[in-house]
Amino acid sequence: MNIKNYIAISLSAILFWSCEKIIEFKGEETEPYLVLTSTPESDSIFTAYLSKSIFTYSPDVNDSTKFYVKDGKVNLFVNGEDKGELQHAKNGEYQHPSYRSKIGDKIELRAFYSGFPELYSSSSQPQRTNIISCDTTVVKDEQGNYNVAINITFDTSVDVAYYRLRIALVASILDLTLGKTTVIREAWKSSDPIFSAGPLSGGNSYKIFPRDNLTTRTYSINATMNLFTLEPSITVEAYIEVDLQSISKELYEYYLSLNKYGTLLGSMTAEPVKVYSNIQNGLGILGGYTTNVQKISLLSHPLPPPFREF
Amino acid sequence: MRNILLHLSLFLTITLVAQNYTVSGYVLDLNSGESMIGATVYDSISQRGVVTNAYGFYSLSLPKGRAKIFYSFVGYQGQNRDLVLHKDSVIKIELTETVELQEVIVVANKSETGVMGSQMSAIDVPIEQIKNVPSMMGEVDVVKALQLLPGVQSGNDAGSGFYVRGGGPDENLMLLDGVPLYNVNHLFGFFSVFNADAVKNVTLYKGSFPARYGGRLSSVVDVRTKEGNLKEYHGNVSIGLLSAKVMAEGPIWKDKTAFIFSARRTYFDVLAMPFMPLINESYKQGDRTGYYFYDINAKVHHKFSDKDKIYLSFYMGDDVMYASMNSSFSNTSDASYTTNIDSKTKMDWAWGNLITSLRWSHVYGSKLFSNASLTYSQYNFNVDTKLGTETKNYPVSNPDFVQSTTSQTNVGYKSKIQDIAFRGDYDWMPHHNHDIKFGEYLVFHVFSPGVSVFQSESASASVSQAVDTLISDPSIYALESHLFFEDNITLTKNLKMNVGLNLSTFSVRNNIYWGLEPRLSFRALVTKDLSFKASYSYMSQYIHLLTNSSVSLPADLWVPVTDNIKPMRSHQAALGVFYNVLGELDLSVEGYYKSMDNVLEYQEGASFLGSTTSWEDKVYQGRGWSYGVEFLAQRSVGKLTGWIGYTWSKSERLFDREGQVLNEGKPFYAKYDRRHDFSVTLNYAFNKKIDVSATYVYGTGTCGSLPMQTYQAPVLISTSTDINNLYGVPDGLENGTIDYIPVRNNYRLPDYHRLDLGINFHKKLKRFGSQTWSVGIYNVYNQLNPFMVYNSYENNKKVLKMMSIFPVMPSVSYTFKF
Repeated sequence: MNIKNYIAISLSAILFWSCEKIIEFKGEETEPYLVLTSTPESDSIFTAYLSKSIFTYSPDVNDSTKFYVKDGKVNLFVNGEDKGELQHAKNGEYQHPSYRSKIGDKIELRAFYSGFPELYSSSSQPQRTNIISCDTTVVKDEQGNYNVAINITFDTSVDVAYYRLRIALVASILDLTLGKTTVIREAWKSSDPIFSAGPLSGGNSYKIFPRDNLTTRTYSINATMNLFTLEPSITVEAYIEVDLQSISKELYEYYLSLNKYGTLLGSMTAEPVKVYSNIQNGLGILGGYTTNVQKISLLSHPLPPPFREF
Repeated sequence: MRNILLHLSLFLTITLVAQNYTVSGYVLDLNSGESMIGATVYDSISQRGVVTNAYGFYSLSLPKGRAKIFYSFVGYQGQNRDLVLHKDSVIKIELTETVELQEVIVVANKSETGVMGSQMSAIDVPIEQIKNVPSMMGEVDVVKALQLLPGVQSGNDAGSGFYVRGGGPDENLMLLDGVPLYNVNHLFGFFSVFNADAVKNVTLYKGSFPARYGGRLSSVVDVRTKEGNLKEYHGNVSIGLLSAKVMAEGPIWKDKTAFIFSARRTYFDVLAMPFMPLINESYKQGDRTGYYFYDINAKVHHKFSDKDKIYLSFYMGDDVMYASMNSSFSNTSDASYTTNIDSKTKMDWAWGNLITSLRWSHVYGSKLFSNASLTYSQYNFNVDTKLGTETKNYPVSNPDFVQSTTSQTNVGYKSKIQDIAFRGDYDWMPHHNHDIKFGEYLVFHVFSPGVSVFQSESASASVSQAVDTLISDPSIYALESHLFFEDNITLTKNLKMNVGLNLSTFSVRNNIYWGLEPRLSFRALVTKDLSFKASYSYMSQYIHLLTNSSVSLPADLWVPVTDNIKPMRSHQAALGVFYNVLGELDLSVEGYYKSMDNVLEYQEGASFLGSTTSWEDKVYQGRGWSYGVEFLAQRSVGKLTGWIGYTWSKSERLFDREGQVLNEGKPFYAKYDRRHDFSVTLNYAFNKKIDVSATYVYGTGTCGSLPMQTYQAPVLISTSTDINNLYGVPDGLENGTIDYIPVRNNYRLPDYHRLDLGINFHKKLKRFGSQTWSVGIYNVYNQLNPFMVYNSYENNKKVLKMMSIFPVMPSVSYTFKF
């Protein structure tokens, strides 16, 4: 190394030497929390998950089994009636043997585990949203790609405060190498103003929005989805699934904060996000939803070439 | 109440009709003609005294008959004047520097900020004291010296962040000769814009704000620059590791007109240029990349008479980051073509302040001094990036047939704030018990929050395309005004008070906000060396700084109040004890409580960078409060000078308004809450040739938000193989765990401490001028102080990592003075 190199390195070191080191956490460690999570779907088996939190800088964080609480107690109350204790199925998952949540039910959960305070939470199952129509049109864009335009009209007069919309292209593709079909999915997009109100947009596959923004008795949402992954010759099934869910306020707040949290994970310039919780004395979420699913088959769709051979 | 008013009017009548004459004039430096700020004028017979104002003017009302006036200023030989007063007199005094070892002072006990004055929570810092503080890389820095005073906290390591009594970094009014500066940082906040060679005096107000100041909640830093030597030519040249400086001053017309010019430029970019190819292998001949900052201060003043002076001053300072890189790439992977791609990238970032001011000082009679200023100030930030590419395809079969495609892309961003202002200040001394200051300040703001330019052109033999897009937030115009009045009243020999009122208005987008801001301070002198003081201030602030709180970025934006974002307000009350020991050691203890309303905090998840959301949608407004005790001991005479400062303080925020809830509506610590802050700054002069200095600082770590617990959200992961996964898991949550931060700003960074040492060798040269070699070591014991703490992964385990920036850093600089 010649003298110029030494000088260059020295100059750089003097002026822009920054160093980083691992430091030991020196602060007051908070006590772990008991975590209760349940997002009951109307007319489905009632399930809840019980776990406990772990100190973030502990190596145990990487071992998912350390979170599970298998010998806790979760009691269910519906409309004030004691429905009894949920049974542990596996890995902290607890199920009720018979109860299926109904629209309008007020669900309360109480959870117990040794060394932790009792958890409590409540939520109500929302009304089902009526999808009035669901139309699709296949169009060709400027780049020559085929897209499907979807128009969903739904009834806003039902007493629902929050929605979650999921649109999925479900296609079974024959994989000639493996000799079986695989399922693909596509992202959808929409420039509808109800999704653009700041942080209310969700990820690619679902979006959440409040009814506050809707002023008419019915509302139509336009969305598009591209079809370029569909190879006509090997597609054995293809349909678009539209699921317009009515979600509880608790679930809405939860997804809202979760989206923000996930988007900004690792960002050094953003303020950290606290994920919403409605569990008293603990963490987690109890919030129900009611689905309304519509399927539109693409195989019978009057497609332009090259999809005509469907 | 009627009795009180009756007694008050009787008292005023008696005092006003007593036969008094006024002695007025300027106190100047004999050698330079420079006006002296804060010089003491004291009549030992009547025991009345005043100090000169920011322009060196004084006016003292004395009873008819004999007077024995003593004029003094620290470091200068005092002068006596024996007079027999039978009419108003104008006396210009020119003081000479003491031939003995110069003694510097932080707070003169006879000044308004010491034991005798009614002003509290304020510190005068002569520039000579600042120059003696050991500095990073030998770069004397006004703001860093102020950070060593009690009640003032720095942000992160070596930053110029300035947090006064629990306030935010945008709550400080930085004045350069009375004109607000919007960005006081160079090099992302590691240095400040004040060139010490041009500075004459610095006064910091942390509370007890005189009514003449307004517009910010937490502090006023009043920096006054030199006026220029009316007698002789002088100058200095200084070369350090980081920058070179030059200063020249002298008469244009002796005793009438003088100029002063100073400039500073860093040259790391020039020094590093030859070594860049060694550091970066892709660096080519003709490439250039670097960073520098510069400052230019210039001032001309002309004295028409003892009553009229005019000043024209100019300041310009910019940070410039530039890069110009060329690259060539040849692709032969395609057998039928050889492709050559030549690209040229040019990047120019520049940001900085520009200030001009025209000031006229006039003395009406002997009791009224006026100062009228017309000023223009701007801060702008410009980014310009150009990328040009030329692609040439040479068919192997026919190399002479070249297919050429060119493209040119320009991306630009500009933001700016401009102020055009008029200020009128009046000092009226109608009576020896009243020193009245009143005036008006009118400023027209133009906020240009951001203009983005995108231009793209591409052309080939067959196709040509062009895009030219301009995205601009509309400029916002606002009119801010302040009407102020204050009276420094001597009630009795031992009781003194300063009472004032500042009426502020801010007009923006058809909204008018206003504030009636009372200011009050009170001094009770127990003995000539001991006084108690109390004060109250109400302040309003109509503009906000949107910034990343850890590093001062040039893209930080100043924005005005809006329909949704209301003005910030604060109440501050303080109590203090001031004691002077044997005329050598000044001790003070002050306690304060400050409440703030409508302070801003970013919402959860909000980021100043990289978002299209309007800034108003990223912030919440709430309340804050801070309280603390500050201790200051200063020795200002003798060979050993310096100060010891200690602050205990607490600063909290509460955001519980509907729709603007943070931290579940519970109180949390402010980001720069710091429980203990201790600093020692000492300078020892062995003789006129050698002096040494040392600074030690210790501070409790500041706050940040860190997760404490991690939990699983099973609903996120249980369906990974299910078609229901189409519900979508947000990016980054695939492993189904969530980090939980129980309380905002819950984690305290490691404590900060550092020792700096410096030594100066002065030598008078035989033929001409004098020289000073300054050698210093910043962070002597190489303490790795936290710049930031963040989460990372090490061996698949989440760990805390701390970044430090400045290890031990030696420095040397050379100054030649003539």
